[in-house]
Amino acid sequence: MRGSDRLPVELMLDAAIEALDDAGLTPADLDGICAPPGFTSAEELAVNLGVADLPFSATTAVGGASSVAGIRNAAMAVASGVASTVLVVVGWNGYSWMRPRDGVPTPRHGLAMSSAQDVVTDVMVPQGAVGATQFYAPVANRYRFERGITELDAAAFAMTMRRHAARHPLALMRDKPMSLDGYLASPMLSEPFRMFDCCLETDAAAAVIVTDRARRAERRSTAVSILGAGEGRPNPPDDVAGRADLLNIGLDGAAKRAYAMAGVSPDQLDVVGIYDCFTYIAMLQAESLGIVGHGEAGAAARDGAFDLGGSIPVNTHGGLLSQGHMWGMNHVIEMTRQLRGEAGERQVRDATLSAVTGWGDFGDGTVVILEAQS
Amino acid sequence: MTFDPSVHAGFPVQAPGAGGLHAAWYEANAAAGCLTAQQCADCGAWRQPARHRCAACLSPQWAFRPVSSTATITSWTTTHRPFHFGFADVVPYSIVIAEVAEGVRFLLHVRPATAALTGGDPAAIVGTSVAVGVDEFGLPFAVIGSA
Repeated sequence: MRGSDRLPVELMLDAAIEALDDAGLTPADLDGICAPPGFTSAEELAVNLGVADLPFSATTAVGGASSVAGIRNAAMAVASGVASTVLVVVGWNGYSWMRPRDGVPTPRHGLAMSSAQDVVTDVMVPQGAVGATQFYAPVANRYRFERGITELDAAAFAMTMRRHAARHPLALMRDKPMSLDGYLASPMLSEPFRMFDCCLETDAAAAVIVTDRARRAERRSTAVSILGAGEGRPNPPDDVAGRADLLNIGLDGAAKRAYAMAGVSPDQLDVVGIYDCFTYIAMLQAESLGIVGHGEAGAAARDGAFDLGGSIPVNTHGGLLSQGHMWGMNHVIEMTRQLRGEAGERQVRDATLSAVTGWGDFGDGTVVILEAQS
Repeated sequence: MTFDPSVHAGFPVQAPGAGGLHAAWYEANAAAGCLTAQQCADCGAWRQPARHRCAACLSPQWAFRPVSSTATITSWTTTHRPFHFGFADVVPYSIVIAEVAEGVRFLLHVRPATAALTGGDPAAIVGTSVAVGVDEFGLPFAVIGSA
């Protein structure tokens, strides 16, 4: 939504309780919490959920990649026996924090510092690069240069996300179709990013439960299995300009490791969630994930490969670009619904295998591979 | 760094408010009157931005040394919408990533702002040579077409 009058932690508690209920569990079942890198803490979440003793908590500060990193941390804890039921939650007032209103509380703690912080403030801001749009734009322009991706490719990707959003009841852009003319008329912010290349500002929270209890507990919903997960960083992770290869992203290593762990290959995926903070960056990730070859994401978008009914549907909920910005946890939830067969008019037929990527800070990458339970 | 709009208004004249090694880099640039980068005192590897250790040999010994004053653009962005009000008067302006002969790359704003690379064809921009200068604060910048 836009215009929340509640704190991020309140939204997160709502999402946590709904996720527990969906899993047929209660807060008493929780023995782990993966809090987001900002706006709250595992401790604050625990005390508000009545968790009297918390054996496990973990937060990996990789910006937008943190949601999938949290799921990976939770899965490692469950697989190792450190915990059995872990809450992974994110939330923020991504729209309202820039637009303070009288009488509306603001969180006392913002985003946690990430590894990128010193280079941003000391080296990038003095050059006039003050926001994510500017940090990633040189990556996108290099992507255009090396792999021939065009503005029309980006437009096709943005319009694909918008078509998906039209089928999701909670999508911010559900009733706002996008035409090519509309895309081209959207203002240029920082080349090559137009406004419609950029994700939405959103007030929202989302939560997932990672557990080994779902197999034995009576539960409301069908679980999906985590087959593999990966994390990776570009070199150096805290600076874009210093990289020898601007197109080397964290997902390159993360995807390789996740596929190896899962024992699957990209051509087996039925539907995927890609962290679409920006059109070009999402297409670069599609290539890194291997669902299309290098330089092929633009043609794939134009040919409808990422559409419902296409060869590999991407972000059937509309993604960060057209549903809303929930740090990519909305992608995890949508892919879970796809694998459960609960996506309604958005359902990809016989969807059994999916991957979800995360992208954060300066290209840190995460990925989780999910499988339907038969 | 505290973002001080009174300093940043009138970009591109601004004083970096960096700390630690990054502050030392700006001071080294200003003292040398030209762009510098960190060079490992043991193995000679160049690095940027400044680090405590050499990633090649782990040496903690280093010095800021002048690098080539010309560089080649590897990528860029041109900002049309200011993301902070301090830049409202100078849009559109360009920021480039440029590599010097020593093999290190820098993020550099283009001066004057009116020389911004707009509507750019990547093939026409990548590979372009720029001259690199530093101002009285040690802040480096790129000048298009005078390399």
